[in-house]
Amino acid sequence: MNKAVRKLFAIAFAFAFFLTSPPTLKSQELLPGGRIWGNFQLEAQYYFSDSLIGAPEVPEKILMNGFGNLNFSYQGFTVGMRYESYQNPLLGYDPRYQGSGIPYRFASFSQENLEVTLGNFYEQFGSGMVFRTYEERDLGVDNAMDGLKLVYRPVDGVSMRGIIGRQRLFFDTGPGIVRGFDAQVDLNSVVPSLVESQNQWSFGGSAVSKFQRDQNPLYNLPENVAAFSGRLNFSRGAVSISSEYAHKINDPSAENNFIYKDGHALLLNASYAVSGAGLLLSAKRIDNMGFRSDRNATGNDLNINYLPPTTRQHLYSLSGMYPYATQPTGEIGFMGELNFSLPRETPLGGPFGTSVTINYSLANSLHKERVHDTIPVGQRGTKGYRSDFFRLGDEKFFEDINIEINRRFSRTLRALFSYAYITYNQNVIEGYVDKEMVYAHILIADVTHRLPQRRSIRWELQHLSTRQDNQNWAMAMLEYSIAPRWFFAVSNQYNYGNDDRDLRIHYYTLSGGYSRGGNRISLSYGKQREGIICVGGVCRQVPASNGFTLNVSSSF
Amino acid sequence: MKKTIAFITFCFAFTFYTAGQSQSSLPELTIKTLQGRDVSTATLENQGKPFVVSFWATWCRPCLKELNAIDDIYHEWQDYGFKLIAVSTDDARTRANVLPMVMGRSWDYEFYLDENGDFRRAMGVNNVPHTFILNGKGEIVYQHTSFSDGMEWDMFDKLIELLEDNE
Amino acid sequence: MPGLFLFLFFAGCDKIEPPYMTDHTGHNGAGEVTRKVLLEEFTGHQCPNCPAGHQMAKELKTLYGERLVIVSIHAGWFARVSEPPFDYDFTSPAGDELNTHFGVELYPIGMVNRKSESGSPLIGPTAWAEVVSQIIDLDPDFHIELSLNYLPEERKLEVNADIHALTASPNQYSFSAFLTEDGIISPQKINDPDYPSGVIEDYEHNHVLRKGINGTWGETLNDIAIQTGDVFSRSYSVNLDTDWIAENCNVVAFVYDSTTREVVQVEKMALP
Repeated sequence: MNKAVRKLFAIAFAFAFFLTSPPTLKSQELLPGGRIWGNFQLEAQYYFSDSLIGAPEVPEKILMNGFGNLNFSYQGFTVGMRYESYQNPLLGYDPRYQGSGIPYRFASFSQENLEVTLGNFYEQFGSGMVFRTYEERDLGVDNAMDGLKLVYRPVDGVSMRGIIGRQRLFFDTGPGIVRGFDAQVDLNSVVPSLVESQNQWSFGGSAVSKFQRDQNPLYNLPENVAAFSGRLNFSRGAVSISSEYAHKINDPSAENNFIYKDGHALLLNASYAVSGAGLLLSAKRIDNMGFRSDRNATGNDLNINYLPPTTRQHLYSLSGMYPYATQPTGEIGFMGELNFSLPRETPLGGPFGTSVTINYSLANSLHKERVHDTIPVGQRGTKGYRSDFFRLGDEKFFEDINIEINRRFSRTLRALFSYAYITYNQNVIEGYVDKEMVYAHILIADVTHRLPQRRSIRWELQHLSTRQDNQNWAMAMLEYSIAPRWFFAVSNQYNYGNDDRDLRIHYYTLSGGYSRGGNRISLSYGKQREGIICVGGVCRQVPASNGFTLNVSSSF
Repeated sequence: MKKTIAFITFCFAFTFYTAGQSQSSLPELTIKTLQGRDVSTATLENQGKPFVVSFWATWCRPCLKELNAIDDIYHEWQDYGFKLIAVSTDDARTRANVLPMVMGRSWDYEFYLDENGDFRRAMGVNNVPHTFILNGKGEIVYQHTSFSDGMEWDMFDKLIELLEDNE
Repeated sequence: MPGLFLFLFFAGCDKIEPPYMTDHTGHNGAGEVTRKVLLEEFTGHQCPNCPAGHQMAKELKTLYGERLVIVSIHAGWFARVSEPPFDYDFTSPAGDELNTHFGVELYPIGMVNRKSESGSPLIGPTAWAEVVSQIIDLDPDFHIELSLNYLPEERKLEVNADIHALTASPNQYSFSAFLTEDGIISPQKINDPDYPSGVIEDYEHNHVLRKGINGTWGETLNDIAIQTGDVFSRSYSVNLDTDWIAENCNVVAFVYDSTTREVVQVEKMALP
């Protein structure tokens, strides 16, 4: 199909979808017991160039990302596919997405204790440190496998998984083949004498390997690279402990600068939770644990594994200005989080109760030593470095201490107050060499007033103060909503503290939205500052932009 | 050519979709309890009374608002025997956070983890929060994406309506 | 059934023992007519990761000698002229045009013969070696014979090229010539723990693209199918800017397929 025809189809498809969607969508039944379902989403932006904020000229003026999923299942049999169209990709998304196609389609069936998937699939072993394929549309991340998956559950409490395939790379697949096996045992279900026990045990293990041909004339590269992991979970009453350790053999890659060192990762979580209070402690050590199905891949391409960051994901625009992303080449991290509520009708809790979250996290470099006096740390084509397991390096990547108080004052008034102090190593996280460490204090108030007839007004005031980077910011937002359908909002972010007077810019936006059933449509107009958006510690650079944005989302 | 065929199939199936209307129950998949045990989604029910299945995440602000708002009136829901099943879509990064958070906030819902997103995909959910209301027979009768204050009362109204339909 | 996976798995695991580098001999191909390969890298003096790209190019140059021709294209955000010490202008109109045409957004990145694998010819430094090794031993399709004449008083360079077709081809080809300069000492940002300041003050910049001698895209060579033994002659003259040092300048001339843009032969010659 040529490009023009395809484009036409895509537009017709989008319109047909939107126009024919009945107001109350319900899942369909074709055959008795059969089901059709799916969803659709479109984001289109009309751009104005704005040299002051650094918004580039967009020759196409309008850019659009869209996709639709359609699935059908009948008894144990399911087929599905996703059509994606980028005409052309929105600013900040990888230009390699340009075009349209069906990069995701699968057929699966399950029968008693066996489940088979052919085609594309998402899967995760344990916490994902050796294998996780997933999609995150907001980031443009989709490393779906294209191949075969088997899940076998021989007895209750035991599951085994086998996977093989290649990973998605935009509208193509990567050059490496990924193979893996995982087993998980829930001991209390398997061992009869433990069924009634207070102590809950489960454990599992995975092995994943990739194959990529070595055609490099400079280096002798491993064509098969394997990674292994083991995990153990325990809980008793209020206490839960989970742990996972992963090991990877030599895997010289663009990400680690072609060093031949083995990789390691350790993740520990311990929590104590009773009604009204919950405490979580996490520790993590990652050492040369990037794992991709193409040794030359960079950015967010072709990751086989997922290394979770142990930092809090902030939810407001100014507290999210300096987000952390895991450093796969090496880091040690800790986090502690305490959640508790002050019960209602107590002096501290007030008439309607208050909940509090206190969180601390730290991410630090590893201590790295030369493998030999004459070889610098990280030298290409060597073992790279030696690293003492328990020793912290002398570079701080990120530190965050924050507190959030959420209190309902009356039937009509609820407010959230938050303070955070963030230390952010711009050089390491964003890949610069000459930027200062950023120290930022952030204060936030988020207040909701309930009005009669299920209407409400919500406003936010935020302030970020720092002497580094772009200095101080203030932000205000006002939102009016009529439940369950309408919302309107106006906001402004103002970089009033910028040393450069010309860059004291107001980033204002106006937005409105309507949602009904599984459908939602929103329109906004305004300026967006350059920044980083992160989901789950994976980040994407978003360039500054100025213009109209239309979002349509529909599920059926 | 392959793409063309696939696309035509897609359109064909889509036409089918617009042809008929009826209600369906939850797809059958495996999710996990907060203690990490496998549970089949086919077992989700509320003893013949209507209930709500809500997809959320610890990092999603409107989701927390929604769960807070429902919490404020949850005792009224419970008086009618209604129930909220909250399915967390948190991934490996924040999964460990779910239990301490929901306990710390004293939320009284039934919680599950859908870490790999299988259940979310099988329900056609694009973004969280996304809420489904099911009748006493476990059939999906209503869904809504996003949350604004007051919507908890809309859900409550719908649940009462369904309860009356039942009787 | 999963046992099968388990078996497949343990069968495949390559532990590599030192030395990790392969033996660097027997590739320089001096004297005979061979295929030469063009490596164009997009770079910038304010790009901290770019020295790693230069290093990779240098390693490949050590391996392939004269059979690998490098052009460093300084363009984009990281090549911008700003406050001292980064006030030297390495950019050129041809470089800017190439940068825009190929949609370069990440630096360093390069093109090996502008060969496209999956829609874009841009590939990261660690992948250059593979692509070079796949094409460098193919038989040559063309032989480019250069002769240069430099008139120092007028700072004028005359370029004569005879392009010999070694095989017949129905395709249309273009011929392009660049002027490059080596040995420019100027600061470069670097991301390396050995340079805690993040800057090397006296960095040596080589292969810097100065000018497209016959424009950015050169000119078309043939309108009809090429026969073995055809010879195309082209002559150009170009003036050197006053701050370019003639002894350090080179002409890089190459033939590429006008449709696919893939380079099929390249030749380099220093100014006399």
